[in-house]
Amino acid sequence: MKPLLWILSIGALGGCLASAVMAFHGMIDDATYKMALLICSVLWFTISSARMYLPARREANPAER
Amino acid sequence: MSQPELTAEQVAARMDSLYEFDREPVDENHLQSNASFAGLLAGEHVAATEFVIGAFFVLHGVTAADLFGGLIVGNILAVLSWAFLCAPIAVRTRLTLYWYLRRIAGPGVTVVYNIGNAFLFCILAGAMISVSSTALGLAFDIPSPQLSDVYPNSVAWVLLTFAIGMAFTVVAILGFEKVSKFAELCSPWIFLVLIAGALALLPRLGVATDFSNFWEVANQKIWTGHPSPGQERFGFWHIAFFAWFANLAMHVGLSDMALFRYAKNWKTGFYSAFGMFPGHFLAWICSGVMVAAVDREMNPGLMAFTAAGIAGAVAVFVAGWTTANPTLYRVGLALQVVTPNWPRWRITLIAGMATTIVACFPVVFLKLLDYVAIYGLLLMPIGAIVFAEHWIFPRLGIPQFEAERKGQQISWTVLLVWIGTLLFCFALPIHLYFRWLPGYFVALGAYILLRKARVRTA
Repeated sequence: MKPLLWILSIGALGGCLASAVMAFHGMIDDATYKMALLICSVLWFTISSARMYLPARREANPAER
Repeated sequence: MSQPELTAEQVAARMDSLYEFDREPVDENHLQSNASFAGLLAGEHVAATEFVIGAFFVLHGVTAADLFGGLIVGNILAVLSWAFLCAPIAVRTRLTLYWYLRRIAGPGVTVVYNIGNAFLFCILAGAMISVSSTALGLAFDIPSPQLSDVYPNSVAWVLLTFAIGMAFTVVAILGFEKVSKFAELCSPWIFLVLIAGALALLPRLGVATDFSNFWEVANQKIWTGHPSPGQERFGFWHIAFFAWFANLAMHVGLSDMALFRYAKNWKTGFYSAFGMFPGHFLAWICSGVMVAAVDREMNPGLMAFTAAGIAGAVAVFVAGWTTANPTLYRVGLALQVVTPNWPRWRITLIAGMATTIVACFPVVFLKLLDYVAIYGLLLMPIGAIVFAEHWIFPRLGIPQFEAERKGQQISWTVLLVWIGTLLFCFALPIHLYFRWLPGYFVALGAYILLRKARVRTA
Protein backbone atom coordinates (compact mmCIF):
# COMPACT_ATOMS: atom_id res chain seq x y z
CA MET A 1 0.00 0.00 0.00
CA LYS A 2 2.75 2.42 1.00
CA PRO A 3 4.70 2.24 -2.30
CA LEU A 4 1.47 2.84 -4.23
CA LEU A 5 0.67 5.91 -2.11
CA TRP A 6 4.23 7.11 -2.60
CA ILE A 7 3.88 6.84 -6.40
CA LEU A 8 0.49 8.59 -6.30
CA SER A 9 1.84 11.43 -4.16
CA ILE A 10 4.77 11.95 -6.52
CA GLY A 11 2.23 11.91 -9.35
CA ALA A 12 0.26 14.68 -7.62
CA LEU A 13 3.42 16.77 -7.26
CA GLY A 14 4.20 16.07 -10.90
CA GLY A 15 0.69 17.29 -11.72
CA CYS A 16 1.43 20.60 -9.95
CA LEU A 17 4.50 21.10 -12.13
CA ALA A 18 2.82 19.83 -15.30
CA SER A 19 -0.02 22.36 -14.94
CA ALA A 20 2.55 25.19 -14.77
CA VAL A 21 4.47 23.81 -17.77
CA MET A 22 1.22 23.65 -19.75
CA ALA A 23 0.36 27.23 -18.75
CA PHE A 24 3.86 28.34 -19.77
CA HIS A 25 3.41 26.79 -23.21
CA GLY A 26 -0.04 28.34 -23.58
CA MET A 27 -1.77 24.94 -23.68
CA ILE A 28 -4.17 25.91 -20.85
CA ASP A 29 -5.41 29.32 -19.71
CA ASP A 30 -4.57 30.96 -16.40
CA ALA A 31 -7.78 29.94 -14.62
CA THR A 32 -7.45 26.29 -15.68
CA TYR A 33 -3.80 26.23 -14.57
CA LYS A 34 -4.66 27.60 -11.14
CA MET A 35 -7.53 25.15 -10.70
CA ALA A 36 -5.35 22.21 -11.79
CA LEU A 37 -2.61 23.34 -9.39
CA LEU A 38 -5.12 23.54 -6.55
CA ILE A 39 -6.57 20.09 -7.29
CA CYS A 40 -3.12 18.49 -7.54
CA SER A 41 -2.12 20.22 -4.28
CA VAL A 42 -5.17 18.86 -2.47
CA LEU A 43 -4.38 15.40 -3.85
CA TRP A 44 -0.76 15.70 -2.67
CA PHE A 45 -1.81 16.57 0.86
CA THR A 46 -4.48 13.88 1.01
CA ILE A 47 -2.30 11.08 -0.34
CA SER A 48 0.83 12.13 1.57
CA SER A 49 -1.09 12.41 4.84
CA ALA A 50 -2.49 8.92 4.29
CA ARG A 51 1.03 7.65 3.50
CA MET A 52 2.39 9.27 6.63
CA TYR A 53 -0.29 8.26 9.09
CA LEU A 54 -1.47 4.89 7.76
CA PRO A 55 1.28 2.69 9.30
CA ALA A 56 0.81 4.32 12.70
CA ARG A 57 -2.88 3.43 12.64
CA ARG A 58 -2.15 -0.22 11.87
CA GLU A 59 0.26 -0.47 14.78
CA ALA A 60 -2.34 1.05 17.08
CA ASN A 61 -4.80 -1.72 16.19
CA PRO A 62 -3.23 -5.14 17.00
CA ALA A 63 -6.25 -7.01 15.64
CA GLU A 64 -5.23 -6.01 12.13
CA ARG A 65 -1.82 -7.69 12.41
CA MET B 1 2.46 34.23 45.87
CA SER B 2 6.21 34.84 45.81
CA GLN B 3 8.34 32.63 43.55
CA PRO B 4 11.70 31.25 44.71
CA GLU B 5 14.64 33.00 43.07
CA LEU B 6 16.85 30.93 40.82
CA THR B 7 20.60 30.77 41.27
CA ALA B 8 22.94 30.68 38.27
CA GLU B 9 23.75 27.03 39.07
CA GLN B 10 20.07 26.10 39.10
CA VAL B 11 19.49 27.79 35.75
CA ALA B 12 22.48 25.92 34.29
CA ALA B 13 21.26 22.60 35.75
CA ARG B 14 17.80 23.16 34.22
CA MET B 15 19.32 23.95 30.84
CA ASP B 16 21.40 20.76 31.08
CA SER B 17 18.35 18.63 31.87
CA LEU B 18 16.57 20.11 28.87
CA TYR B 19 19.33 18.88 26.57
CA GLU B 20 19.99 15.71 28.55
CA PHE B 21 18.82 13.44 25.74
CA ASP B 22 21.74 14.46 23.51
CA ARG B 23 24.40 14.66 26.20
CA GLU B 24 26.20 11.52 25.06
CA PRO B 25 28.11 11.44 21.77
CA VAL B 26 26.19 9.74 18.96
CA ASP B 27 27.17 6.07 18.70
CA GLU B 28 27.97 4.14 15.51
CA ASN B 29 24.53 2.50 15.36
CA HIS B 30 22.72 5.81 15.07
CA LEU B 31 24.68 7.32 12.19
CA GLN B 32 22.52 8.37 9.23
CA SER B 33 23.00 7.72 5.54
CA ASN B 34 23.97 10.46 3.10
CA ALA B 35 20.61 10.02 1.36
CA SER B 36 18.73 10.89 4.53
CA PHE B 37 20.92 13.99 4.94
CA ALA B 38 20.13 15.02 1.36
CA GLY B 39 16.38 14.73 2.04
CA LEU B 40 16.53 16.49 5.39
CA LEU B 41 18.65 19.38 4.13
CA ALA B 42 16.53 19.81 1.00
CA GLY B 43 13.41 20.20 3.14
CA GLU B 44 15.02 22.44 5.72
CA HIS B 45 15.86 25.26 3.35
CA VAL B 46 12.45 25.83 1.79
CA ALA B 47 10.59 28.17 4.14
CA ALA B 48 8.51 31.32 4.19
CA THR B 49 11.67 33.43 4.12
CA GLU B 50 12.31 32.27 0.54
CA PHE B 51 9.21 34.17 -0.63
CA VAL B 52 10.65 37.37 0.82
CA ILE B 53 14.42 37.18 0.23
CA GLY B 54 14.42 36.61 -3.54
CA ALA B 55 11.82 39.35 -3.96
CA PHE B 56 13.94 41.80 -1.98
CA PHE B 57 16.91 41.22 -4.29
CA VAL B 58 14.72 42.54 -7.12
CA LEU B 59 13.72 45.59 -5.08
CA HIS B 60 17.39 46.22 -4.29
CA GLY B 61 18.07 46.62 -7.99
CA VAL B 62 20.50 43.80 -8.54
CA THR B 63 21.31 42.92 -12.16
CA ALA B 64 20.65 39.41 -13.48
CA ALA B 65 24.37 38.66 -13.89
CA ASP B 66 25.15 39.82 -10.34
CA LEU B 67 22.25 37.80 -8.96
CA PHE B 68 23.09 34.52 -10.69
CA GLY B 69 26.84 34.91 -10.16
CA GLY B 70 26.47 36.06 -6.56
CA LEU B 71 24.10 33.23 -5.67
CA ILE B 72 26.38 30.60 -7.22
CA VAL B 73 29.48 31.90 -5.43
CA GLY B 74 27.71 32.54 -2.11
CA ASN B 75 26.00 29.18 -2.02
CA ILE B 76 29.24 27.35 -2.87
CA LEU B 77 30.95 29.22 0.00
CA ALA B 78 28.09 28.22 2.31
CA VAL B 79 28.41 24.56 1.31
CA LEU B 80 32.19 24.72 1.84
CA SER B 81 31.62 26.26 5.28
CA TRP B 82 29.42 23.33 6.25
CA ALA B 83 31.88 20.85 4.78
CA PHE B 84 35.14 22.27 6.15
CA LEU B 85 34.10 24.06 9.35
CA CYS B 86 30.97 22.49 10.80
CA ALA B 87 30.88 18.85 9.71
CA PRO B 88 34.50 17.92 10.66
CA ILE B 89 34.10 19.14 14.26
CA ALA B 90 30.65 17.52 14.51
CA VAL B 91 31.94 14.17 13.26
CA ARG B 92 35.04 14.21 15.49
CA THR B 93 33.16 15.12 18.66
CA ARG B 94 29.72 13.60 17.90
CA LEU B 95 28.35 16.28 20.22
CA THR B 96 25.92 19.18 19.81
CA LEU B 97 27.30 22.71 19.98
CA TYR B 98 25.53 23.07 23.32
CA TRP B 99 27.52 20.33 25.05
CA TYR B 100 30.80 21.14 23.31
CA LEU B 101 30.50 24.83 24.13
CA ARG B 102 29.70 23.91 27.72
CA ARG B 103 33.11 22.22 28.02
CA ILE B 104 34.84 25.26 26.51
CA ALA B 105 32.94 28.18 28.00
CA GLY B 106 31.06 26.83 31.01
CA PRO B 107 27.33 26.33 31.56
CA GLY B 108 26.73 30.04 32.15
CA VAL B 109 27.77 30.96 28.62
CA THR B 110 25.59 28.21 27.13
CA VAL B 111 22.63 29.67 29.04
CA VAL B 112 23.38 33.15 27.65
CA TYR B 113 23.78 31.65 24.17
CA ASN B 114 20.45 29.82 24.35
CA ILE B 115 18.49 32.74 25.75
CA GLY B 116 19.98 35.05 23.13
CA ASN B 117 19.07 32.53 20.46
CA ALA B 118 15.51 32.37 21.83
CA PHE B 119 15.03 36.13 21.46
CA LEU B 120 16.43 36.03 17.93
CA PHE B 121 14.05 33.15 17.13
CA CYS B 122 11.14 35.26 18.45
CA ILE B 123 11.85 37.97 15.89
CA LEU B 124 12.16 35.39 13.10
CA ALA B 125 8.84 33.81 14.11
CA GLY B 126 7.31 37.30 14.18
CA ALA B 127 8.44 37.90 10.60
CA MET B 128 6.91 34.60 9.54
CA ILE B 129 3.57 35.48 11.16
CA SER B 130 3.61 38.77 9.18
CA VAL B 131 4.27 36.84 5.97
CA SER B 132 1.31 34.54 6.67
CA SER B 133 -0.84 37.61 7.35
CA THR B 134 -0.15 38.94 3.85
CA ALA B 135 -1.63 35.72 2.47
CA LEU B 136 -4.71 35.54 4.69
CA GLY B 137 -5.25 39.29 4.33
CA LEU B 138 -6.12 38.72 0.67
CA ALA B 139 -9.19 36.72 1.67
CA PHE B 140 -10.47 39.57 3.87
CA ASP B 141 -9.35 42.37 1.56
CA ILE B 142 -6.99 43.75 4.20
CA PRO B 143 -4.21 45.85 2.65
CA SER B 144 -0.67 44.72 3.43
CA PRO B 145 1.88 47.24 4.73
CA GLN B 146 3.91 49.25 2.25
CA LEU B 147 7.65 48.82 1.83
CA SER B 148 8.45 51.91 3.89
CA ASP B 149 6.08 51.07 6.77
CA VAL B 150 7.50 50.59 10.23
CA TYR B 151 4.25 50.65 12.18
CA PRO B 152 1.01 48.76 11.36
CA ASN B 153 -0.97 50.50 8.62
CA SER B 154 -4.46 49.57 9.80
CA VAL B 155 -6.40 48.16 12.73
CA ALA B 156 -7.55 45.30 10.50
CA TRP B 157 -3.90 44.30 9.85
CA VAL B 158 -3.19 44.28 13.60
CA LEU B 159 -6.28 42.19 14.35
CA LEU B 160 -5.49 39.72 11.58
CA THR B 161 -1.82 39.37 12.58
CA PHE B 162 -2.76 39.01 16.22
CA ALA B 163 -5.32 36.30 15.43
CA ILE B 164 -2.80 34.38 13.28
CA GLY B 165 -0.02 34.77 15.86
CA MET B 166 -2.20 33.49 18.68
CA ALA B 167 -3.44 30.58 16.55
CA PHE B 168 0.19 29.61 15.77
CA THR B 169 1.04 29.90 19.47
CA VAL B 170 -1.83 27.64 20.51
CA VAL B 171 -0.74 25.04 17.95
CA ALA B 172 2.85 25.30 19.22
CA ILE B 173 1.58 24.60 22.73
CA LEU B 174 -0.65 21.71 21.71
CA GLY B 175 1.46 19.59 19.45
CA PHE B 176 4.93 20.24 18.15
CA GLU B 177 5.55 16.76 16.75
CA LYS B 178 2.51 16.67 14.49
CA VAL B 179 3.30 20.13 13.14
CA SER B 180 6.91 19.24 12.47
CA LYS B 181 5.71 16.11 10.63
CA PHE B 182 3.30 18.27 8.67
CA ALA B 183 6.15 20.68 7.87
CA GLU B 184 8.13 17.78 6.33
CA LEU B 185 5.15 17.07 4.14
CA CYS B 186 4.81 20.72 3.10
CA SER B 187 8.42 21.43 2.04
CA PRO B 188 8.42 19.71 -1.38
CA TRP B 189 5.00 21.12 -2.17
CA ILE B 190 5.96 24.70 -1.21
CA PHE B 191 9.05 24.36 -3.40
CA LEU B 192 6.94 23.10 -6.31
CA VAL B 193 4.46 25.98 -5.89
CA LEU B 194 7.35 28.46 -6.06
CA ILE B 195 8.67 26.84 -9.25
CA ALA B 196 5.20 26.48 -10.79
CA GLY B 197 4.23 30.05 -9.93
CA ALA B 198 7.37 31.56 -11.44
CA LEU B 199 7.14 29.38 -14.54
CA ALA B 200 3.51 30.29 -15.17
CA LEU B 201 4.31 34.00 -14.81
CA LEU B 202 7.20 34.02 -17.27
CA PRO B 203 4.99 34.43 -20.40
CA ARG B 204 3.33 37.46 -18.76
CA LEU B 205 6.79 39.03 -18.47
CA GLY B 206 7.41 38.24 -22.13
CA VAL B 207 9.61 35.13 -21.95
CA ALA B 208 9.31 32.98 -25.09
CA THR B 209 8.41 29.30 -24.72
CA ASP B 210 11.87 28.26 -25.93
CA PHE B 211 13.54 30.53 -23.31
CA SER B 212 15.49 32.20 -26.14
CA ASN B 213 14.89 35.69 -24.73
CA PHE B 214 15.01 34.79 -21.04
CA TRP B 215 18.23 36.66 -20.31
CA GLU B 216 16.98 39.76 -22.10
CA VAL B 217 13.67 39.75 -20.16
CA ALA B 218 15.51 38.98 -16.92
CA ASN B 219 17.65 42.10 -17.34
CA GLN B 220 14.90 44.39 -18.61
CA LYS B 221 11.94 43.38 -16.45
CA ILE B 222 13.11 41.41 -13.41
CA TRP B 223 16.66 42.08 -12.22
CA THR B 224 16.89 45.45 -13.88
CA GLY B 225 19.72 47.04 -11.91
CA HIS B 226 17.37 49.81 -10.70
CA PRO B 227 16.40 49.72 -7.03
CA SER B 228 12.90 50.58 -5.82
CA PRO B 229 12.57 53.97 -4.08
CA GLY B 230 14.20 53.94 -0.63
CA GLN B 231 16.17 50.72 -1.28
CA GLU B 232 19.94 50.68 -1.62
CA ARG B 233 21.42 49.12 -4.72
CA PHE B 234 22.90 45.63 -4.36
CA GLY B 235 25.75 44.26 -6.44
CA PHE B 236 27.50 40.93 -6.87
CA TRP B 237 29.22 40.95 -3.47
CA HIS B 238 26.03 41.83 -1.55
CA ILE B 239 24.32 38.80 -3.07
CA ALA B 240 27.34 36.50 -2.65
CA PHE B 241 27.77 37.46 1.00
CA PHE B 242 24.05 37.24 1.70
CA ALA B 243 23.86 33.72 0.25
CA TRP B 244 26.93 32.80 2.30
CA PHE B 245 25.75 34.21 5.64
CA ALA B 246 22.04 33.37 5.30
CA ASN B 247 22.75 30.35 7.51
CA LEU B 248 25.85 31.73 9.21
CA ALA B 249 24.78 30.62 12.69
CA MET B 250 24.35 27.09 11.34
CA HIS B 251 27.64 26.56 9.44
CA VAL B 252 30.32 29.03 10.61
CA GLY B 253 28.47 29.43 13.92
CA LEU B 254 28.46 25.61 14.21
CA SER B 255 24.92 25.14 15.52
CA ASP B 256 24.41 22.48 12.81
CA MET B 257 26.80 20.27 14.76
CA ALA B 258 23.53 18.93 16.19
CA LEU B 259 22.72 17.61 12.73
CA PHE B 260 26.11 16.58 11.35
CA ARG B 261 27.13 14.62 14.44
CA TYR B 262 24.98 11.87 12.89
CA ALA B 263 27.03 11.89 9.67
CA LYS B 264 29.26 8.94 8.81
CA ASN B 265 32.09 11.25 7.79
CA TRP B 266 32.79 14.95 7.36
CA LYS B 267 32.22 14.85 3.60
CA THR B 268 28.48 14.71 4.33
CA GLY B 269 28.85 18.47 4.82
CA PHE B 270 28.86 18.75 1.03
CA TYR B 271 25.28 17.42 1.03
CA SER B 272 24.21 20.86 2.28
CA ALA B 273 24.24 21.67 -1.46
CA PHE B 274 20.92 19.76 -1.62
CA GLY B 275 19.46 22.47 0.61
CA MET B 276 21.29 25.46 -0.79
CA PHE B 277 20.74 25.16 -4.51
CA PRO B 278 17.02 24.35 -4.56
CA GLY B 279 16.18 26.62 -1.58
CA HIS B 280 18.65 29.48 -1.76
CA PHE B 281 19.14 29.57 -5.51
CA LEU B 282 16.09 28.35 -7.43
CA ALA B 283 13.50 29.43 -4.85
CA TRP B 284 15.03 32.92 -4.53
CA ILE B 285 15.07 33.30 -8.30
CA CYS B 286 11.40 32.21 -8.43
CA SER B 287 10.28 34.71 -5.79
CA GLY B 288 12.17 37.39 -7.73
CA VAL B 289 10.18 36.53 -10.85
CA MET B 290 6.95 36.69 -8.83
CA VAL B 291 7.59 40.14 -7.37
CA ALA B 292 8.52 41.49 -10.81
CA ALA B 293 5.17 40.25 -12.12
CA VAL B 294 3.22 42.21 -9.46
CA ASP B 295 4.94 45.51 -10.26
CA ARG B 296 7.46 45.09 -7.45
CA GLU B 297 4.86 45.19 -4.67
CA MET B 298 6.46 43.57 -1.62
CA ASN B 299 3.53 41.41 -0.63
CA PRO B 300 4.34 37.67 -0.46
CA GLY B 301 0.65 36.71 -0.28
CA LEU B 302 -0.28 38.75 -3.35
CA MET B 303 2.80 37.55 -5.25
CA ALA B 304 1.96 33.90 -4.68
CA PHE B 305 -1.76 34.40 -5.31
CA THR B 306 -1.05 36.12 -8.61
CA ALA B 307 1.38 33.39 -9.60
CA ALA B 308 -0.44 30.29 -8.39
CA GLY B 309 -3.97 31.24 -7.30
CA ILE B 310 -5.42 29.88 -4.07
CA ALA B 311 -2.69 27.21 -3.88
CA GLY B 312 -0.09 30.00 -3.89
CA ALA B 313 -1.72 31.98 -1.11
CA VAL B 314 -2.12 28.78 0.93
CA ALA B 315 1.56 27.97 0.30
CA VAL B 316 2.65 31.33 1.75
CA PHE B 317 0.36 30.92 4.75
CA VAL B 318 1.50 27.34 5.39
CA ALA B 319 5.17 28.25 4.86
CA GLY B 320 4.85 30.98 7.50
CA TRP B 321 3.10 28.63 9.86
CA THR B 322 5.49 25.70 9.51
CA THR B 323 8.48 28.03 9.99
CA ALA B 324 7.02 29.96 12.93
CA ASN B 325 5.70 26.95 14.79
CA PRO B 326 8.88 24.98 15.62
CA THR B 327 10.54 28.33 16.25
CA LEU B 328 7.97 29.25 18.89
CA TYR B 329 8.32 25.80 20.42
CA ARG B 330 12.11 26.21 20.70
CA VAL B 331 11.68 29.65 22.24
CA GLY B 332 9.40 28.15 24.86
CA LEU B 333 11.92 25.43 25.66
CA ALA B 334 14.87 27.82 25.90
CA LEU B 335 13.08 30.31 28.14
CA GLN B 336 11.64 27.60 30.36
CA VAL B 337 14.95 27.32 32.20
CA VAL B 338 14.96 30.92 33.45
CA THR B 339 11.38 31.04 34.66
CA PRO B 340 10.45 29.96 38.18
CA ASN B 341 8.91 26.51 37.64
CA TRP B 342 6.52 27.70 34.95
CA PRO B 343 5.08 24.94 32.77
CA ARG B 344 6.18 25.00 29.14
CA TRP B 345 2.70 25.96 27.90
CA ARG B 346 2.73 29.16 29.93
CA ILE B 347 6.14 30.35 28.77
CA THR B 348 5.30 29.40 25.15
CA LEU B 349 2.07 31.40 25.47
CA ILE B 350 3.92 34.47 26.77
CA ALA B 351 6.68 34.13 24.16
CA GLY B 352 3.99 33.66 21.49
CA MET B 353 2.15 36.80 22.61
CA ALA B 354 5.38 38.81 22.57
CA THR B 355 6.20 37.41 19.13
CA THR B 356 2.72 38.26 17.89
CA ILE B 357 3.11 41.86 19.05
CA VAL B 358 6.44 41.99 17.19
CA ALA B 359 4.71 40.56 14.10
CA CYS B 360 2.19 43.42 14.06
CA PHE B 361 5.06 45.76 13.15
CA PRO B 362 5.68 45.18 9.45
CA VAL B 363 9.25 46.43 9.78
CA VAL B 364 10.28 42.94 11.01
CA PHE B 365 9.60 41.28 7.68
CA LEU B 366 10.30 44.35 5.56
CA LYS B 367 13.81 44.44 7.07
CA LEU B 368 14.26 40.69 6.95
CA LEU B 369 17.55 40.83 5.03
CA ASP B 370 19.20 43.04 7.66
CA TYR B 371 17.78 40.87 10.42
CA VAL B 372 19.25 37.72 8.84
CA ALA B 373 22.64 39.48 8.71
CA ILE B 374 22.46 40.55 12.35
CA TYR B 375 21.28 37.13 13.51
CA GLY B 376 24.31 35.41 11.97
CA LEU B 377 26.68 38.12 13.14
CA LEU B 378 25.60 37.86 16.79
CA LEU B 379 26.25 34.12 17.00
CA MET B 380 29.29 33.92 14.70
CA PRO B 381 31.98 34.61 17.39
CA ILE B 382 31.01 31.41 19.20
CA GLY B 383 31.84 29.46 16.03
CA ALA B 384 35.28 31.11 15.88
CA ILE B 385 35.95 30.32 19.55
CA VAL B 386 34.99 26.66 19.15
CA PHE B 387 37.06 26.38 15.95
CA ALA B 388 40.13 27.79 17.73
CA GLU B 389 39.64 25.51 20.71
CA HIS B 390 39.16 22.40 18.57
CA TRP B 391 41.80 22.79 15.84
CA ILE B 392 44.30 25.46 16.85
CA PHE B 393 44.84 25.01 20.59
CA PRO B 394 46.24 21.43 20.31
CA ARG B 395 48.73 22.66 17.68
CA LEU B 396 49.84 25.60 19.83
CA GLY B 397 50.02 23.54 23.01
CA ILE B 398 47.25 25.53 24.69
CA PRO B 399 45.24 23.31 27.07
CA GLN B 400 41.65 22.76 25.85
CA PHE B 401 38.37 22.95 27.79
CA GLU B 402 39.49 25.36 30.51
CA ALA B 403 35.99 25.87 31.89
CA GLU B 404 35.44 22.12 32.28
CA ARG B 405 38.85 21.50 33.86
CA LYS B 406 38.52 24.35 36.34
CA GLY B 407 34.79 23.88 36.99
CA GLN B 408 34.02 27.45 35.88
CA GLN B 409 30.40 28.54 35.52
CA ILE B 410 31.38 31.21 33.01
CA SER B 411 34.54 31.57 30.96
CA TRP B 412 35.10 35.33 31.07
CA THR B 413 37.62 35.02 28.24
CA VAL B 414 34.93 33.60 25.96
CA LEU B 415 32.43 36.24 27.03
CA LEU B 416 34.97 39.02 26.54
CA VAL B 417 35.89 37.81 23.05
CA TRP B 418 32.23 37.39 22.12
CA ILE B 419 31.20 40.89 23.25
CA GLY B 420 34.43 42.51 22.01
CA THR B 421 33.99 40.98 18.55
CA LEU B 422 30.43 42.27 18.32
CA LEU B 423 31.53 45.78 19.33
CA PHE B 424 34.28 45.61 16.71
CA CYS B 425 31.81 44.43 14.03
CA PHE B 426 29.24 47.11 14.79
CA ALA B 427 31.92 49.81 14.70
CA LEU B 428 33.34 48.67 11.36
CA PRO B 429 32.69 51.31 8.68
CA ILE B 430 31.63 48.78 6.02
CA HIS B 431 28.29 47.40 4.87
CA LEU B 432 26.50 45.25 7.43
CA TYR B 433 26.72 42.20 5.15
CA PHE B 434 30.52 42.20 5.06
CA ARG B 435 31.22 42.78 8.75
CA TRP B 436 31.06 39.18 9.93
CA LEU B 437 34.11 38.03 7.96
CA PRO B 438 36.72 40.35 9.53
CA GLY B 439 34.84 39.82 12.80
CA TYR B 440 35.39 36.07 12.54
CA PHE B 441 39.16 36.48 12.24
CA VAL B 442 39.20 39.05 15.06
CA ALA B 443 37.35 36.60 17.32
CA LEU B 444 39.70 33.79 16.32
CA GLY B 445 42.83 35.88 16.87
CA ALA B 446 41.66 37.53 20.10
CA TYR B 447 40.65 34.22 21.68
CA ILE B 448 43.96 32.54 20.80
CA LEU B 449 46.01 35.52 22.06
CA LEU B 450 44.07 35.86 25.31
CA ARG B 451 44.28 32.15 26.09
CA LYS B 452 47.97 32.02 25.12
CA ALA B 453 48.66 34.98 27.42
CA ARG B 454 46.83 33.28 30.29
CA VAL B 455 48.83 30.09 29.78
CA ARG B 456 52.09 32.08 29.93
CA THR B 457 51.12 33.91 33.12
CA ALA B 458 49.85 30.74 34.81
